[in-house]
Amino acid sequence: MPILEVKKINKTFPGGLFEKPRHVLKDVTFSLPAGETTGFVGSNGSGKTTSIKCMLDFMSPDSGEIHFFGKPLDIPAKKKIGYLPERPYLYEFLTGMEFLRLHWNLVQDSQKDFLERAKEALKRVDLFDARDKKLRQYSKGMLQRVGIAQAILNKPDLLILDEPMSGLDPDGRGLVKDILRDEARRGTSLFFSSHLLQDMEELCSHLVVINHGRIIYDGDLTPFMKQFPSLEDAFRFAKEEGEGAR
Amino acid sequence: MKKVYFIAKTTFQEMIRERLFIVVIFIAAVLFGLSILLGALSFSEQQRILANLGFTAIEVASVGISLFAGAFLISNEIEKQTLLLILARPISRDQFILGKVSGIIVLNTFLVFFLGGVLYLLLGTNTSFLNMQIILLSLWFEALIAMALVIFFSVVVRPVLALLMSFGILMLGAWIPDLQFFAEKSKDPFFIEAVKVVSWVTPNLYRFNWKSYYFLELGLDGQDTVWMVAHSMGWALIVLVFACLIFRRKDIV
Repeated sequence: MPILEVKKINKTFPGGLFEKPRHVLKDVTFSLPAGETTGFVGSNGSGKTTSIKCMLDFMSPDSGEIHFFGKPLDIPAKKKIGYLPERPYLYEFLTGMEFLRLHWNLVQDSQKDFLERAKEALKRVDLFDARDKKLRQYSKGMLQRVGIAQAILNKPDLLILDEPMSGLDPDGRGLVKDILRDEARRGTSLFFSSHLLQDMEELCSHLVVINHGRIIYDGDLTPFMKQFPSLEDAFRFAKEEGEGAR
Repeated sequence: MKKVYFIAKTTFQEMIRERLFIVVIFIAAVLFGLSILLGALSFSEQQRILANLGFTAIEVASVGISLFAGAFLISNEIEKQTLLLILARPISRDQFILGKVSGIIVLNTFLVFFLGGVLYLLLGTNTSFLNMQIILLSLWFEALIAMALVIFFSVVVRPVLALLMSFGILMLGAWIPDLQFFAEKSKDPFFIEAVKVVSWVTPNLYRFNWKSYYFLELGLDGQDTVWMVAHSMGWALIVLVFACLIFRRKDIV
């Protein structure tokens, strides 16, 4: 059973006074195989973030269905999901530790294991020494990393990350890639969007490609990349083919 | 409920660090100072001036906090997208609103009863404790209605507009007797009917405008107090239910 199934999602944003409505997602359909790392690729404005927002119920699609673990998103399903938005704006008046405690308390019923897990998560993102600093004192990269710490804190079955590598320097990117690899090894299903196709190539076994709100590929990475030296070339080719079909 | 508590706690922590909170406390302190100063100028009227200005200071602080915090609290969360991480957790949108509302209520309770305590000490122990409590309760309920209204409008329109609309409704609710007086004087049937409609669709705040020395001295009718509690709770509840219903369907773009 796929861990996530998105079926024929459509989303239109209403236009302004002199603007036409924008049909941003057109019959978006794809699924995530359990235990795999899936990359979500598309150009800017292709509908990646809107798709993720529809999946997590931040936006209501006009039509279509989304199933997590075989059923529509509900409270028990949310307990098994870790999420990091594109630009993680966090409560800046909290310290790193307080921030993690808040996210622990919103998921777990007891304080048991919190300190141990928080310590582990902060060490993994290399922020243990900054745990008592206010988030407003964190750099952009540190905020991104503490965002990842909250996503992995509750040991989710599915991690959904929207551009997790954005704003990170090469060291930070390397660190995040290692974390994603560790999570995948632990059996977590991963779904992440990124512009950095080289990272996708390194990490993913499954790929979903979106172009102008339409899914143009959903399947394993290897067949997608056939006859192309890199994912970037394969992506360009698929995009051009998609443009032609439009 | 546990999740609501954690959202409320975070909201409370956020608000006491806001510059707005310090500004409102400062305004209340200035009004308190002014009431003491003016009271000292007139020996016979000292208590009256102190009570009237003191209650006004508490009203300005509590309604001010409710309006400004309520208007910007949820819209800021949407604008900064901080609520994405919260709503991705096993928490419903209703619980989120309830948490935010609870945070403001706790802050307002602290504010009204702390400033009320200071005023009680300034007025001296001859003042009726029960009357003082009822007047403070009326101010607390006024702030509750203000917060409910502004939260409702803030999930529909921009925060500044939400603030202005809520302020407008509060003003209308306080001015109903004056409007009725002018409507009767004008003998214009349209004006008379319009004022009737206004009195139905706005909270009747004028009926528990007790923030004066007069009520502190003479006391309040039990029935009026029960009416105030029921009317305010009803208003706040209905408006917040509508806010939740709209927020459930709101796209977080």
